Amino acid sequence: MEPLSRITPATIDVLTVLSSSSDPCWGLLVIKSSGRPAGSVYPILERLEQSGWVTSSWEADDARSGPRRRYYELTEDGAAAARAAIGVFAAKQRSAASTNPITARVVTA
Amino acid sequence: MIAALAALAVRVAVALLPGSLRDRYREQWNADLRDAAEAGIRTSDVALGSLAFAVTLGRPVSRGAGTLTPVSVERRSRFAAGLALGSALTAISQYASIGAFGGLTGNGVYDFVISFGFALLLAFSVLAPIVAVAIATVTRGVAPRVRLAVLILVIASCAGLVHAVVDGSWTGAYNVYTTPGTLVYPVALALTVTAIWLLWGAFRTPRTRVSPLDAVLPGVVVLAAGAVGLAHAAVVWAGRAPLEFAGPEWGRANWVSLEEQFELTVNGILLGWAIASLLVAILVVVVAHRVGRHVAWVVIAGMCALLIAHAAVLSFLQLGSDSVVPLVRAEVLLLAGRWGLIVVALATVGGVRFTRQREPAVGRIETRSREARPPASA
Repeated sequence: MEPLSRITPATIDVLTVLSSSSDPCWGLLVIKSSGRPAGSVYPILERLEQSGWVTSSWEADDARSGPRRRYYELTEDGAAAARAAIGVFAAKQRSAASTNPITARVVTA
Repeated sequence: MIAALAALAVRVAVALLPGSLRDRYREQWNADLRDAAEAGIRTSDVALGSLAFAVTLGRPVSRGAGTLTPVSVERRSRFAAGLALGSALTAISQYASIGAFGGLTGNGVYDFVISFGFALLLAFSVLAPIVAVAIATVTRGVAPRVRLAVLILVIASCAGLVHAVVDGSWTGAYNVYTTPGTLVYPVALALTVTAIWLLWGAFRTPRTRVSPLDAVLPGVVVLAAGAVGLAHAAVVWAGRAPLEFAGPEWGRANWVSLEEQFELTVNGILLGWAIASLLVAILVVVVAHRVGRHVAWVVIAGMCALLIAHAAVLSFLQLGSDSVVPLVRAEVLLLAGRWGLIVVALATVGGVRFTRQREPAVGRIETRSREARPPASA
């Protein structure tokens, strides 16, 4: 698994969605749950997969005909790295909020 | 309708992807389109997401046996983009030809020049988009944004054809410049500007900015050319012999009324052209300042744009004229301007060298060392 060159807030949102799901997650549900546009989520998933954080597979539902959905899940190493990245991001957010009174009011409101 | 557009967008996005990813994402995005409602997501979001993914996807160039070097890939990318841009500009400038004369004069030289020039222009308009798409599609390693730009330019280059098809059955037009079919030209212009924006910075062309003072001079030259053209158009209009109307008195009255309306239109056109000349001159200054050593091509492009505008105005001013020669002159100006824009597109974006450059003895070594460098980030 390779480290990510950059971890954006959108990447954190995608990692959060994948971390909170025990089963493989359909790509469109990642978009829906993260609240991020598809134009952000598709490239992030591709980047996570290329870096070995995530694996993807076709759905195994034979009842549905036509094109198959693509499901994503964190790899074992990816899950650990995702937890760490989410933790670091949250710590940075708290730090930024404590040093900026305006942000602090927003966070505590 | 939206579903069809979304499906089309996904097909375009898939076509822009590297071959190794196409099957996977074609199936994935088609499933997403089909089930978008179930997830509470609009199909348009899926479509835009697929396009954004295809355009922003990093595409490393394989350096294995039989593959092209980055320099070769860039050369082909530029050529495809230059061809497509030339074709799109040719299509847009078709608007200026609407009132132009299209027949034979009986003068062998004029007829040969015009017929041959327009035949070549037609051949270029048909072949250039096909070749551009073929190069951009077949060549591995072409940046997705370049592929998208080529595709957009090829769509824009269909403007003339769309105009002809739409207006082929239109019978309600009095003014041939404002028929429903002519709406395609501003659309094509917007598409071309979008494509140029995509291409800007896509290639590793070293740019050396010139000083603002040096950039002003080309603008002044172009503005002066515009002023000369405007003065010529005013003289042509003022010296135009009044058309004679042989018929009943009520017909003569209608004709005079029409002439008065035409006078107002002409004043508006002359004013519009003065403003357009100023805008072209400003554009020349801005672009010349940014592109540096290509400043000569910028001036030529500005001149060609003015030639086309001048030809269009002359054609309009002489609508209904009995004399063929002035219209033929306008046709020659149109030909020169349109071919000039094609040459500029090929020389600048396309990277085609029209002038022979002396290669120093170390030229090959320099080229090889350039190829060895990693591609600069766009």
